[in-house]
Amino acid sequence: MNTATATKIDRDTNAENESERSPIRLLDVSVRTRLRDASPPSDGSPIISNDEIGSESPQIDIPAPAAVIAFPSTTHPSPQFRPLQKWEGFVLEVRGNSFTARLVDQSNPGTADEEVELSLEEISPDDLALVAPGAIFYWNIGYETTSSGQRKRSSVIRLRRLPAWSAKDIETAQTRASELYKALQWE
Amino acid sequence: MKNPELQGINIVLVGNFNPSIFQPVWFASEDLIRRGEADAAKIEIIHPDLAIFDIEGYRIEVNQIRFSISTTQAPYFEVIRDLTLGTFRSLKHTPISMMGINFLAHFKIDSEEKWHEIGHILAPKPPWGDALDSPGLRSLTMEESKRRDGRAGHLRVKVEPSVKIIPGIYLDINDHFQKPSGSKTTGSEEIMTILDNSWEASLERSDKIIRTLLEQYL
Repeated sequence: MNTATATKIDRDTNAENESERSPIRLLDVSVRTRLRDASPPSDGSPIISNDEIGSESPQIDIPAPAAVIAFPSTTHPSPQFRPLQKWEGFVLEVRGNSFTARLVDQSNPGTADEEVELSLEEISPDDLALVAPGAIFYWNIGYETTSSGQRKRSSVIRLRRLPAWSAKDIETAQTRASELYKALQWE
Repeated sequence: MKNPELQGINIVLVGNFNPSIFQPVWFASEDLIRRGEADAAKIEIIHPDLAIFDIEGYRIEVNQIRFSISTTQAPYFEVIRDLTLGTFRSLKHTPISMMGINFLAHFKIDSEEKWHEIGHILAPKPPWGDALDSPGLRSLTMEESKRRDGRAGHLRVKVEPSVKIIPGIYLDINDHFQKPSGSKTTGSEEIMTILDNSWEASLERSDKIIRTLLEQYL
């Protein structure tokens, strides 16, 4: 079994064995039908995988006969985001209706970090509680193309969400750190 | 170099999963997603054997042996990584043996001539002689079977003519990790540590591969 894009299962040499083991075969017929109708044709791959390839798909190097329209039409059924600039941010301080943050430029690695002040208005209401010193966020600016084809400039800020460390996690980390410390050979 | 017309990332985990746990409301209750996102999720199926749903910007599919989370929107790349880390930090006893960080992209090529040239370079035709008439590249997969970082796994790069961007090239990079043979650990921690530590390097590697293959054509 591999971890390639899910559609690869169907093409890999182990495909038969995998499909025999697949839990999908255990589903009720009505569920399978619903699933088949609801899922993309490529067995649940990301929606941009190339697995629509079939007998009519284009082949590089083959000149298309004039009478044949060789290429299928291009469609963009789902919203797309074309990034122009991307930062990872680290909240330094929250004051009033704004917060200061240090930004690391992800689009141009090596660029010096910047400090900025951002309005809390930029943050989605459900994320406001996460804005605190030390919080990490991702800030993307780019062009968003909606499913209807409308293009708009967009700024998206997402706060990082990870579960809090449990007391046991912290205890384990401390134990490991202690073991490493003891193992160090000081000269 | 031009940006891809379409791009996406897909994290695939192989192990033993309980699909019925994976519901938007569970993710919200663990504070891994926003409550509003859970309420707005588009559920295709939640079943003991299979869960499929879309949350704003990404898609989750889980069956008993595979967990997959994918997005085609750049602002969500780190989001799906964090959600995967958070999910299996909460479900840390879930046995996971393999992981793929898959990067997919469709690039527009300016002309058919350049498009054919890429095919000729990647798959030269002379060795085919007259075995085929007008042979053309349909799909090419190259593998690095011994990972550069020394971890167990491999890296595969698939190149195909794009069926979505015409004329265009589709690249599918499968950065595959697995527990080393003889690993005695159970649960998800080992693979999650790899995800946390290797994510950035994996995306940088993908970018480098794309540049190596296509920079002169984009």
